Amino acid sequence: MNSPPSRGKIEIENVSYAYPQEVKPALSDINFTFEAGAFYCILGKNGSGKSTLLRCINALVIPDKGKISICEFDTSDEKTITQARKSVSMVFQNPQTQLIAPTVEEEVAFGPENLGLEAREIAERVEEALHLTGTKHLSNRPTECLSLGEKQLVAMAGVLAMRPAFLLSDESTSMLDSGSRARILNLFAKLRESRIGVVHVTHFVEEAIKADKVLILEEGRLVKSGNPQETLGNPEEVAKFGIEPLPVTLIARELQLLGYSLGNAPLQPDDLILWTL
Amino acid sequence: MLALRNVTYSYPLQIQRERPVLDDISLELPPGKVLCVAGNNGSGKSTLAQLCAGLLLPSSGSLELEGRRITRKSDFLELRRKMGILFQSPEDQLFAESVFKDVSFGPKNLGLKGDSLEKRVRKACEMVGLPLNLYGGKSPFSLSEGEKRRVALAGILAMEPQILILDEPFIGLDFEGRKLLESALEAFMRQGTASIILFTHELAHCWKLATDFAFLSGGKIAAFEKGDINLLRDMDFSSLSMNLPQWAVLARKLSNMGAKINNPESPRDLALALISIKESSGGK
Repeated sequence: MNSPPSRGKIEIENVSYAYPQEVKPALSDINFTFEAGAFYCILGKNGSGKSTLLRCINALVIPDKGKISICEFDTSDEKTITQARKSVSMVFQNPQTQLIAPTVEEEVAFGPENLGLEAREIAERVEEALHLTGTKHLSNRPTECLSLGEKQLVAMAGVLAMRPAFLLSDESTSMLDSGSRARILNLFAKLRESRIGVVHVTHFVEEAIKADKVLILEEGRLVKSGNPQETLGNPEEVAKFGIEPLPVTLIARELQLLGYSLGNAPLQPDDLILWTL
Repeated sequence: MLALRNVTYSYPLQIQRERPVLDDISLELPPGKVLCVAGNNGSGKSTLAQLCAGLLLPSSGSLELEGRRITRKSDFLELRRKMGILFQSPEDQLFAESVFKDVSFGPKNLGLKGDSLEKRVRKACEMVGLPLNLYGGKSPFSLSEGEKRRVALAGILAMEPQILILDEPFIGLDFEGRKLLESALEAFMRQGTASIILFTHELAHCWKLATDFAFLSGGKIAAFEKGDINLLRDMDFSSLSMNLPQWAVLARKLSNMGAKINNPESPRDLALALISIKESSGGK
């Protein structure tokens, strides 16, 4: 890979934001640091501020208070906002509305072409992005003939060809069946090796089990963050935040009530099967 | 009762496909049933939904309504009048300036007015948990995503359908939104003579509501009653690209290990099954 992009952090300091003409803030006093090369999941009810937080770290929304720097570029500074935006890329819920070019290869090349890069570098980036997303075999296919899951992977290839430090995903798995979702989650895990950070907003709590860190938002506040065991292990607390508890944590709670101790909070069926052995 | 008899469907000018989208599908939907049709993206769910609603005509085979074969145009009109269809992301179709006006649009076009119109709208809004005195005057666009979706559902319920067709109704909703939508659909079913066909790729979200399941794969369909143990034991869900809820995955594994489980949906029963396995294997 030529000239690897500078990897870094997204630092959020005391960030608050209210939409125009809204009294209630969408985000209140958020502090967090996202590291490149890690996979983060953001959970929370509808309206808890998840999408607003993503828009802040994409420099589409500039906070009213506090500061966000993306790879050391301040999003509130007009001189650095373009650089900040270039460091992150976002994919959305509906893959049908994100593709514009006639073929997969042209779709993935669209971003780098707009950066004014030389043909050789464009080809290299397209190759790299198709390889990363496992869509190389689709490169000559018309985008309209792809399945929904393939379209979402191609949308991701398109933004990865921009070589961002962070990939932001706003419920990008919600319309996909479980096979396609598994492919997207595998991609998120694989991006760790390329030192690309992933920030994924989802309503599927099971997807968060695979994250390095989970953030839970409630009414614009970051109410919990930590590894999946710390954040998802307590079913009563999870339900209090308006999130569906993992069935395994409810079963583990029953075992505790029956007098059995389980050690580390189980999150998956196999954790409970292992306990019986 | 709605029934599909050996229905096959190919899209016109279907050049690239070797086989039809739906191949020899037979299904029955008696009143009181909630049939959850599960399948991958591209498995033909939306095509089947349109066939059930009489929006597409089978290439071969037929539809029956109350035991009568539907052939004439007037039969299809009768079928469509009995159907309510909630498409994906129905909140995008809200348009009126108030919840009352949006929900009353359909029944008004049926010629209802005055008290009878208000009574219909009131009943539909109550069924979806958005009482008219609190929500009737609000703009639908000021509501949460879950509330908007329930306004869209109320607009359909106000047409008093007997059969409701839902295409991925839970997509994009949070836990609370899903529970409230589920309650609204339960209220619809309490009317006794109603039935629902629910199309989804996410089994966990409709497990509670469903009375029957049908799995759509490669244009073919396999149907099960919810209580049918074959459903959990024998189905190859991974080849269907279908996620089972965690409790169902655990129940499958435990029953393969020899555990007896009364109710696989009960955390307590699964905990007891885990304990029995642990104790029989000599663990502590």
